[in-house]
Amino acid sequence: MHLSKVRLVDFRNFKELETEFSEGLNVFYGDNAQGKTNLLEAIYFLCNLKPVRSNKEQHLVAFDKTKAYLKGIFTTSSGPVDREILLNIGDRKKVRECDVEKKRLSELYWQIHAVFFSPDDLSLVKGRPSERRRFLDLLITRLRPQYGRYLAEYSRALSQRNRLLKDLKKNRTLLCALEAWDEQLAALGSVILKTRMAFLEKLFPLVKRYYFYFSRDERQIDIKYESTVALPGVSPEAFREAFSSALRKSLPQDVESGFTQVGPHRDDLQFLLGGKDLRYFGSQGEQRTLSLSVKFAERQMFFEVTGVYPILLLDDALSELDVKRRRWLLQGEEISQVFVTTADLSAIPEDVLKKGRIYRIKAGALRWS
Amino acid sequence: MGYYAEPIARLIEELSRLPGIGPKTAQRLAFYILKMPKDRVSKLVQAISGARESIVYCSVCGNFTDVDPCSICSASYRDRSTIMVVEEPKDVVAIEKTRDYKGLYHVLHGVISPLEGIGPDDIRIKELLSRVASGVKEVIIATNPDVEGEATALYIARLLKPLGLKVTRIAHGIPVGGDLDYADEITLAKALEGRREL
Repeated sequence: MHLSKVRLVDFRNFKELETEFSEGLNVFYGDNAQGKTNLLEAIYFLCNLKPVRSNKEQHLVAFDKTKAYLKGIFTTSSGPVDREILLNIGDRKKVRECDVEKKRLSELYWQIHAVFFSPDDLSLVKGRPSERRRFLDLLITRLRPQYGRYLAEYSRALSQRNRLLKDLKKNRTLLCALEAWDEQLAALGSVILKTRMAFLEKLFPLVKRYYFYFSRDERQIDIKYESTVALPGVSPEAFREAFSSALRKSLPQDVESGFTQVGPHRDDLQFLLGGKDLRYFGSQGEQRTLSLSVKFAERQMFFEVTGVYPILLLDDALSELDVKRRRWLLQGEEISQVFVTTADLSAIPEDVLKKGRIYRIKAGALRWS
Repeated sequence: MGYYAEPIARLIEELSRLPGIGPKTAQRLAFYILKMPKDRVSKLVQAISGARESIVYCSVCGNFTDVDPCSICSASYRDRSTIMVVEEPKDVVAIEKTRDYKGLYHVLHGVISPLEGIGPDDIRIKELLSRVASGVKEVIIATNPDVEGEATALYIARLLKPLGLKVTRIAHGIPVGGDLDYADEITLAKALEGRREL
């Protein structure tokens, strides 16, 4: 799968842009603040239908415009797939695939996916727990669509329970209605936990492997799923019971705070290197390497499930790495499409550069050189 | 801003308060009504106000009826040992259309939803409890299979079970005559969960 053509209108600083891409390496080269990253973001948005950073899709529309249009033509194993997105400020985005408007995300051609890495964006490692859960949930949903439905039902039941907890302060008799919500949270939440666990069991070894490769640190990184419910030693069959009893135990605190304090909506990932928690105490370099490793693990995971490598988007990611790893990054043994931005073409080994296509980006315009 | 004469504007406004009717549909209906023969319009008006005035809630099951108790509750041929609990009167119609169910109904008129400020006391659960005392053997809970419907079902089941009643929940799963590959994943998962031996 690769993106063979793109057309953008009023997306970020691109007034109008239409170009073709190579199915291997594509290099966006230019000074800072010319639009290199914006172009990566456009590709990411076309693939994953979600913005890389801000959750506000309106921010993707050019500064003084009200509409933006994106079109991408993907070459897939089942032929070309063309996908269009129309962003309209104050309205929901419209997505069309092969000229048919798609209302549900899960109806879209599912093998189109992109992985984005930027050394400036370390929120996955040092951001709030919700960032790590978002990453995890997005990826699992992409690979197992029913997981998204469970998440949606869980969060609905959760907000009902939280509302009830707040009402309980005024009216204790409502306590009898709590159990019905607890039971649903436990039923839906245990499915979410089981799915996450099964998924992480495959993801963790990949993260470790990539971290070892990128860092050359002989210490192994240790990753744990920090759960408020599924404590180590509890088998997946017992998650439901464990969750129920955790809910019972935290009831006094829950009523006090008006929030449900246990459950998959409070869980987190923990990264340990030689006993040090990298989320809080990692150096910038360690956090970057970890973030890169997680993204590569995501990419490998996606491949193992779908048989297709996602598109790799690397934003200024080369400076940290030595030549050998740069070379590996840009033309690994796998065949996959890579987009990379750089202000300095010499950062890319010459023979690798020769095989790729170079685009010079200046003030929202692109020239193929 | 006078696009419409005042009476038309008022008609459109009233119509657009109905569920499922947006401003466009309301406008279309309003213009249609204006073109209808006068006698048909007065029939419509009479039908609306007549229905509203003569229909009451059945004092037993809570369904809409013109005679109290309703024709289902007072029918001698119906099985009085079974009660089916539903959310709304329209659900009674849906089940009646199957012609397979011969028991009685209980209409809750809503589901438990703290977000909307609806607690167990705001729907007709107390009335259900007082009904089951007399010779009822089974209560079938047929609330919708969404989060709120499920919570309401669990809540009712918890109240009824200690009374020694058989409490059942309708199954969820694949629609009959449907294709497996058209069912969404969660429905399939639930259908699998509730599978039975042949």
